[in-house]
Amino acid sequence: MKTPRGDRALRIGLLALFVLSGGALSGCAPEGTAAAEAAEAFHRDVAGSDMTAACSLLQSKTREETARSSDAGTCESQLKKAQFTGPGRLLDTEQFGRNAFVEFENDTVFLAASDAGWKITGAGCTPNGEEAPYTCEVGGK
Amino acid sequence: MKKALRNNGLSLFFGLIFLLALLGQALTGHALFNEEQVASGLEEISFGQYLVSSNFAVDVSENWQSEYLQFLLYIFATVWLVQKGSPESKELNEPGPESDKDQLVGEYSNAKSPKWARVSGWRRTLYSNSLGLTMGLIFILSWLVQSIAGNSNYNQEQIQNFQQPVSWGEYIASPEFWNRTLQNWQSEFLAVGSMVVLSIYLRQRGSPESKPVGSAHDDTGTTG
Repeated sequence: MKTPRGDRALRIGLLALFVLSGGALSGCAPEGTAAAEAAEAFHRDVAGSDMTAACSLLQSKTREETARSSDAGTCESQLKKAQFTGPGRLLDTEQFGRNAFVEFENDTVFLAASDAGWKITGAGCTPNGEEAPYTCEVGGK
Repeated sequence: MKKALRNNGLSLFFGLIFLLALLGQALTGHALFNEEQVASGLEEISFGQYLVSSNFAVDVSENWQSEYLQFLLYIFATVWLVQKGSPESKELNEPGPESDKDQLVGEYSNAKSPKWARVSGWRRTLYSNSLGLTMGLIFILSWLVQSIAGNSNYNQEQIQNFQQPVSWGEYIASPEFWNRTLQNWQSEFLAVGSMVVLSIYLRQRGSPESKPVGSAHDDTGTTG
Protein backbone atom coordinates (compact mmCIF):
# COMPACT_ATOMS: atom_id res chain seq x y z
CA MET A 1 0.00 0.00 0.00
CA LYS A 2 1.28 3.41 -0.89
CA THR A 3 2.10 5.58 2.14
CA PRO A 4 0.14 8.84 2.12
CA ARG A 5 2.41 11.87 1.74
CA GLY A 6 1.33 13.39 5.08
CA ASP A 7 2.18 10.17 6.94
CA ARG A 8 5.60 10.04 5.32
CA ALA A 9 6.36 13.66 6.27
CA LEU A 10 5.27 12.95 9.86
CA ARG A 11 7.49 9.86 10.01
CA ILE A 12 10.48 11.79 8.66
CA GLY A 13 9.85 14.51 11.25
CA LEU A 14 9.64 12.01 14.11
CA LEU A 15 12.78 10.27 12.83
CA ALA A 16 14.59 13.62 12.88
CA LEU A 17 13.52 14.12 16.51
CA PHE A 18 14.72 10.58 17.30
CA VAL A 19 18.14 11.30 15.75
CA LEU A 20 18.34 14.55 17.72
CA SER A 21 17.45 12.62 20.89
CA GLY A 22 20.38 10.33 20.09
CA GLY A 23 22.59 13.41 19.98
CA ALA A 24 21.13 14.54 23.27
CA LEU A 25 21.68 11.21 24.97
CA SER A 26 25.08 10.43 23.45
CA GLY A 27 26.55 13.17 25.60
CA CYS A 28 25.45 11.84 28.96
CA ALA A 29 26.52 8.22 29.32
CA PRO A 30 27.07 8.05 33.09
CA GLU A 31 29.57 5.17 32.90
CA GLY A 32 32.81 6.78 31.72
CA THR A 33 34.78 3.72 32.92
CA ALA A 34 37.71 4.44 30.60
CA ALA A 35 37.99 7.97 31.99
CA ALA A 36 38.02 6.65 35.58
CA GLU A 37 40.71 4.11 34.61
CA ALA A 38 42.90 6.92 33.21
CA ALA A 39 42.45 8.91 36.44
CA GLU A 40 43.31 5.85 38.55
CA ALA A 41 46.36 5.09 36.37
CA PHE A 42 47.59 8.68 36.88
CA HIS A 43 47.34 8.35 40.66
CA ARG A 44 49.04 4.92 40.54
CA ASP A 45 51.95 6.38 38.51
CA VAL A 46 52.32 9.36 40.86
CA ALA A 47 52.22 7.09 43.95
CA GLY A 48 54.87 4.84 42.30
CA SER A 49 56.96 7.93 41.38
CA ASP A 50 56.75 7.03 37.67
CA MET A 51 56.36 10.68 36.68
CA THR A 52 57.13 10.06 33.00
CA ALA A 53 54.14 7.72 32.77
CA ALA A 54 52.01 10.16 34.79
CA CYS A 55 53.00 13.05 32.47
CA SER A 56 52.04 10.96 29.41
CA LEU A 57 48.48 10.83 30.79
CA LEU A 58 48.19 14.62 30.83
CA GLN A 59 46.55 16.41 27.92
CA SER A 60 49.23 18.03 25.73
CA LYS A 61 48.38 21.66 26.67
CA THR A 62 48.22 20.69 30.38
CA ARG A 63 51.60 18.91 30.08
CA GLU A 64 53.20 21.96 28.45
CA GLU A 65 51.79 24.33 31.09
CA THR A 66 52.91 21.99 33.88
CA ALA A 67 56.46 21.92 32.44
CA ARG A 68 56.47 25.74 32.09
CA SER A 69 55.48 26.23 35.73
CA SER A 70 58.41 24.09 36.92
CA ASP A 71 61.82 25.64 37.81
CA ALA A 72 63.52 22.74 36.04
CA GLY A 73 61.26 23.18 33.02
CA THR A 74 59.98 19.61 32.93
CA CYS A 75 56.56 18.12 33.60
CA GLU A 76 58.14 15.34 35.70
CA SER A 77 59.85 17.73 38.13
CA GLN A 78 56.64 19.71 38.61
CA LEU A 79 54.65 16.53 39.37
CA LYS A 80 57.26 15.57 41.99
CA LYS A 81 56.79 18.96 43.63
CA ALA A 82 52.96 18.84 43.58
CA GLN A 83 51.14 17.89 46.80
CA PHE A 84 49.13 14.81 45.85
CA THR A 85 47.31 12.90 48.56
CA GLY A 86 46.09 9.34 47.96
CA PRO A 87 42.81 9.66 46.03
CA GLY A 88 40.93 7.11 48.13
CA ARG A 89 37.87 5.25 46.88
CA LEU A 90 36.31 6.08 43.50
CA LEU A 91 32.97 7.77 44.21
CA ASP A 92 31.53 8.92 40.90
CA THR A 93 32.34 9.23 37.21
CA GLU A 94 30.36 11.48 34.90
CA GLN A 95 31.00 11.65 31.18
CA PHE A 96 29.43 14.21 28.85
CA GLY A 97 30.49 13.95 25.23
CA ARG A 98 34.27 14.32 25.17
CA ASN A 99 34.62 15.53 28.75
CA ALA A 100 34.66 13.62 32.03
CA PHE A 101 34.62 14.36 35.74
CA VAL A 102 35.98 11.68 38.11
CA GLU A 103 35.42 12.07 41.83
CA PHE A 104 37.47 10.17 44.45
CA GLU A 105 37.19 10.41 48.23
CA ASN A 106 40.16 12.83 48.40
CA ASP A 107 40.50 14.12 44.83
CA THR A 108 38.66 15.21 41.72
CA VAL A 109 40.11 14.70 38.22
CA PHE A 110 38.97 16.46 35.01
CA LEU A 111 39.55 14.74 31.65
CA ALA A 112 39.08 15.31 27.92
CA ALA A 113 38.85 12.66 25.19
CA SER A 114 41.57 12.55 22.54
CA ASP A 115 42.44 10.16 19.70
CA ALA A 116 44.90 8.52 22.12
CA GLY A 117 42.22 7.99 24.80
CA TRP A 118 41.27 9.98 27.90
CA LYS A 119 43.77 12.65 28.96
CA ILE A 120 43.85 14.61 32.21
CA THR A 121 43.25 18.37 32.11
CA GLY A 122 43.17 18.82 35.89
CA ALA A 123 44.19 16.59 38.83
CA GLY A 124 44.50 17.11 42.57
CA CYS A 125 41.47 19.41 42.31
CA THR A 126 39.45 20.69 45.27
CA PRO A 127 36.12 22.55 45.15
CA ASN A 128 35.76 26.26 45.98
CA GLY A 129 32.02 26.49 46.59
CA GLU A 130 29.14 25.62 44.30
CA GLU A 131 29.73 27.88 41.27
CA ALA A 132 33.46 28.54 41.38
CA PRO A 133 36.05 26.51 39.44
CA TYR A 134 38.06 23.89 41.32
CA THR A 135 41.66 24.62 42.31
CA CYS A 136 44.02 21.98 40.89
CA GLU A 137 47.56 20.87 41.78
CA VAL A 138 48.15 20.08 38.11
CA GLY A 139 46.28 21.70 35.20
CA GLY A 140 42.99 23.44 35.88
CA LYS A 141 42.43 27.16 35.41
CA MET B 1 5.50 15.72 -12.87
CA LYS B 2 5.44 19.44 -13.66
CA LYS B 3 1.88 19.64 -12.32
CA ALA B 4 2.85 17.78 -9.12
CA LEU B 5 5.69 20.25 -8.55
CA ARG B 6 3.38 23.23 -9.06
CA ASN B 7 0.62 21.79 -6.84
CA ASN B 8 3.09 21.23 -3.99
CA GLY B 9 5.28 24.28 -4.54
CA LEU B 10 4.79 25.75 -1.08
CA SER B 11 5.73 22.60 0.89
CA LEU B 12 8.59 21.75 -1.50
CA PHE B 13 10.03 25.28 -1.30
CA PHE B 14 9.99 25.33 2.51
CA GLY B 15 11.25 21.73 2.71
CA LEU B 16 14.20 22.63 0.48
CA ILE B 17 15.19 25.86 2.24
CA PHE B 18 14.82 24.06 5.61
CA LEU B 19 17.33 21.39 4.53
CA LEU B 20 19.74 23.99 3.12
CA ALA B 21 19.55 26.10 6.29
CA LEU B 22 20.01 23.01 8.51
CA LEU B 23 23.06 21.99 6.45
CA GLY B 24 24.44 25.52 6.74
CA GLN B 25 23.84 25.49 10.51
CA ALA B 26 25.62 22.11 10.79
CA LEU B 27 28.63 23.25 8.73
CA THR B 28 29.08 26.56 10.53
CA GLY B 29 28.31 24.97 13.92
CA HIS B 30 31.01 22.34 13.30
CA ALA B 31 33.55 25.03 12.34
CA LEU B 32 32.68 27.14 15.41
CA PHE B 33 32.82 24.10 17.74
CA ASN B 34 36.29 23.19 16.46
CA GLU B 35 37.50 26.80 16.80
CA GLU B 36 36.53 26.65 20.47
CA GLN B 37 38.12 23.20 20.91
CA VAL B 38 41.44 24.48 19.52
CA ALA B 39 41.27 27.60 21.71
CA SER B 40 40.88 25.33 24.77
CA GLY B 41 43.76 23.09 23.65
CA LEU B 42 41.33 20.23 22.89
CA GLU B 43 41.20 18.02 19.80
CA GLU B 44 38.93 18.83 16.87
CA ILE B 45 36.04 16.51 16.03
CA SER B 46 34.79 15.23 12.65
CA PHE B 47 31.62 16.50 10.96
CA GLY B 48 29.93 13.15 11.67
CA GLN B 49 30.78 13.40 15.38
CA TYR B 50 29.41 16.95 15.44
CA LEU B 51 26.09 15.86 13.87
CA VAL B 52 25.42 13.47 16.80
CA SER B 53 26.80 15.85 19.46
CA SER B 54 24.69 17.47 22.17
CA ASN B 55 26.02 20.86 21.00
CA PHE B 56 24.26 20.47 17.62
CA ALA B 57 21.17 18.81 19.16
CA VAL B 58 20.52 21.63 21.63
CA ASP B 59 20.99 24.37 19.03
CA VAL B 60 18.51 22.68 16.66
CA SER B 61 15.91 21.62 19.23
CA GLU B 62 15.73 24.96 21.07
CA ASN B 63 14.63 26.59 17.82
CA TRP B 64 12.25 23.78 16.88
CA GLN B 65 10.40 23.84 20.20
CA SER B 66 9.75 27.55 19.99
CA GLU B 67 8.47 27.37 16.41
CA TYR B 68 6.07 24.54 17.23
CA LEU B 69 4.94 26.33 20.40
CA GLN B 70 4.26 29.42 18.32
CA PHE B 71 1.98 27.51 15.92
CA LEU B 72 0.40 25.53 18.75
CA LEU B 73 -0.60 28.72 20.58
CA TYR B 74 -1.73 30.35 17.36
CA ILE B 75 -3.90 27.37 16.44
CA PHE B 76 -5.61 27.30 19.87
CA ALA B 77 -5.71 31.07 20.52
CA THR B 78 -7.42 31.78 17.18
CA VAL B 79 -10.25 29.38 18.11
CA TRP B 80 -11.33 31.67 20.96
CA LEU B 81 -9.68 35.08 20.47
CA VAL B 82 -10.51 37.44 17.61
CA GLN B 83 -8.84 40.59 16.30
CA LYS B 84 -10.95 43.20 14.57
CA GLY B 85 -9.62 43.95 11.10
CA SER B 86 -7.11 41.10 10.94
CA PRO B 87 -7.20 38.47 8.19
CA GLU B 88 -5.56 36.14 10.73
CA SER B 89 -8.74 36.25 12.82
CA LYS B 90 -12.15 34.68 12.39
CA GLU B 91 -15.23 36.88 12.12
CA LEU B 92 -15.88 38.68 15.42
CA ASN B 93 -19.07 36.70 16.14
CA GLU B 94 -17.52 33.25 15.64
CA PRO B 95 -15.29 32.55 18.65
CA GLY B 96 -15.23 28.95 19.87
CA PRO B 97 -15.21 25.55 18.19
CA GLU B 98 -18.22 26.44 15.95
CA SER B 99 -21.20 24.28 14.99
CA ASP B 100 -21.07 20.82 13.37
CA LYS B 101 -22.69 22.42 10.32
CA ASP B 102 -19.93 25.00 9.97
CA GLN B 103 -17.27 22.36 10.54
CA LEU B 104 -18.80 19.80 8.13
CA VAL B 105 -18.75 16.95 10.65
CA GLY B 106 -21.15 14.07 11.36
CA GLU B 107 -24.46 14.46 9.49
CA TYR B 108 -23.12 17.63 7.81
CA SER B 109 -20.08 15.89 6.32
CA ASN B 110 -19.90 15.29 2.60
CA ALA B 111 -18.60 12.49 0.39
CA LYS B 112 -15.10 13.97 0.33
CA SER B 113 -14.87 14.59 4.10
CA PRO B 114 -12.13 12.61 5.89
CA LYS B 115 -13.48 9.36 7.39
CA TRP B 116 -12.95 10.40 11.03
CA ALA B 117 -14.93 13.62 10.42
CA ARG B 118 -17.92 11.53 9.33
CA VAL B 119 -17.98 9.21 12.36
CA SER B 120 -18.89 10.21 15.90
CA GLY B 121 -17.22 9.57 19.28
CA TRP B 122 -13.52 9.71 20.22
CA ARG B 123 -12.31 9.45 16.63
CA ARG B 124 -14.11 12.62 15.62
CA THR B 125 -12.94 14.44 18.77
CA LEU B 126 -9.35 13.33 18.15
CA TYR B 127 -9.43 14.25 14.47
CA SER B 128 -11.08 17.61 15.30
CA ASN B 129 -8.01 18.48 17.40
CA SER B 130 -5.35 16.56 15.48
CA LEU B 131 -3.48 19.60 14.15
CA GLY B 132 -3.07 21.24 17.56
CA LEU B 133 -2.28 17.94 19.27
CA THR B 134 0.43 17.04 16.74
CA MET B 135 2.00 20.49 16.99
CA GLY B 136 1.83 20.17 20.80
CA LEU B 137 3.45 16.73 20.75
CA ILE B 138 6.32 17.92 18.55
CA PHE B 139 6.74 20.99 20.82
CA ILE B 140 6.94 18.82 23.98
CA LEU B 141 9.37 16.34 22.38
CA SER B 142 11.60 19.12 21.01
CA TRP B 143 11.63 20.87 24.39
CA LEU B 144 12.51 17.60 26.11
CA VAL B 145 15.35 17.01 23.64
CA GLN B 146 16.52 20.60 24.27
CA SER B 147 16.61 19.98 28.04
CA ILE B 148 18.57 16.70 27.75
CA ALA B 149 20.99 17.88 25.07
CA GLY B 150 21.32 21.26 26.79
CA ASN B 151 22.16 19.56 30.09
CA SER B 152 24.89 17.50 28.42
CA ASN B 153 26.28 20.48 26.50
CA TYR B 154 26.24 22.65 29.64
CA ASN B 155 28.07 19.96 31.62
CA GLN B 156 30.76 19.70 28.93
CA GLU B 157 31.38 23.43 29.35
CA GLN B 158 31.32 23.06 33.14
CA ILE B 159 34.00 20.34 33.02
CA GLN B 160 36.12 22.32 30.54
CA ASN B 161 35.94 25.22 33.01
CA PHE B 162 36.83 22.91 35.96
CA GLN B 163 33.39 23.23 37.50
CA GLN B 164 31.03 20.59 38.82
CA PRO B 165 28.47 19.12 36.37
CA VAL B 166 24.76 19.51 37.24
CA SER B 167 21.84 17.04 37.15
CA TRP B 168 18.94 17.30 34.66
CA GLY B 169 16.68 18.57 37.47
CA GLU B 170 19.17 21.31 38.36
CA TYR B 171 19.61 22.16 34.69
CA ILE B 172 15.89 22.72 33.96
CA ALA B 173 15.81 25.15 36.89
CA SER B 174 18.94 26.95 35.67
CA PRO B 175 19.22 30.41 34.05
CA GLU B 176 20.98 28.76 31.04
CA PHE B 177 17.94 26.56 30.19
CA TRP B 178 15.38 29.35 30.63
CA ASN B 179 17.51 31.92 28.83
CA ARG B 180 17.85 29.61 25.81
CA THR B 181 14.09 28.96 25.95
CA LEU B 182 12.80 32.50 26.50
CA GLN B 183 15.07 34.19 23.97
CA ASN B 184 13.38 32.02 21.34
CA TRP B 185 9.85 32.41 22.72
CA GLN B 186 9.94 36.21 22.83
CA SER B 187 10.90 36.48 19.15
CA GLU B 188 8.15 34.04 18.09
CA PHE B 189 5.48 35.85 20.10
CA LEU B 190 6.59 39.22 18.70
CA ALA B 191 6.49 37.92 15.11
CA VAL B 192 2.97 36.47 15.48
CA GLY B 193 1.66 39.51 17.31
CA SER B 194 3.02 41.91 14.71
CA MET B 195 1.59 39.78 11.88
CA VAL B 196 -1.87 39.96 13.50
CA VAL B 197 -1.70 43.75 13.94
CA LEU B 198 0.22 44.83 10.81
CA SER B 199 -2.13 42.83 8.55
CA ILE B 200 -5.00 45.06 9.72
CA TYR B 201 -3.45 48.09 7.98
CA LEU B 202 -0.94 46.72 5.47
CA ARG B 203 -1.51 44.54 2.39
CA GLN B 204 0.42 42.05 0.26
CA ARG B 205 -1.32 41.71 -3.06
CA GLY B 206 -2.07 38.08 -3.91
CA SER B 207 -1.13 36.62 -0.54
CA PRO B 208 -3.72 34.63 1.44
CA GLU B 209 -1.97 35.96 4.57
CA SER B 210 -3.22 39.44 3.63
CA LYS B 211 -6.61 40.98 2.99
CA PRO B 212 -7.36 42.08 -0.59
CA VAL B 213 -5.57 45.37 -1.22
CA GLY B 214 -8.82 47.35 -1.40
CA SER B 215 -10.38 45.88 1.77
CA ALA B 216 -11.35 48.23 4.58
CA HIS B 217 -9.14 48.25 7.66
CA ASP B 218 -12.02 46.99 9.80
CA ASP B 219 -12.80 43.99 7.56
CA THR B 220 -12.09 40.91 9.65
CA GLY B 221 -11.40 37.34 8.55
CA THR B 222 -11.14 38.02 4.83
CA THR B 223 -8.13 36.80 2.85
CA GLY B 224 -6.97 37.72 -0.61
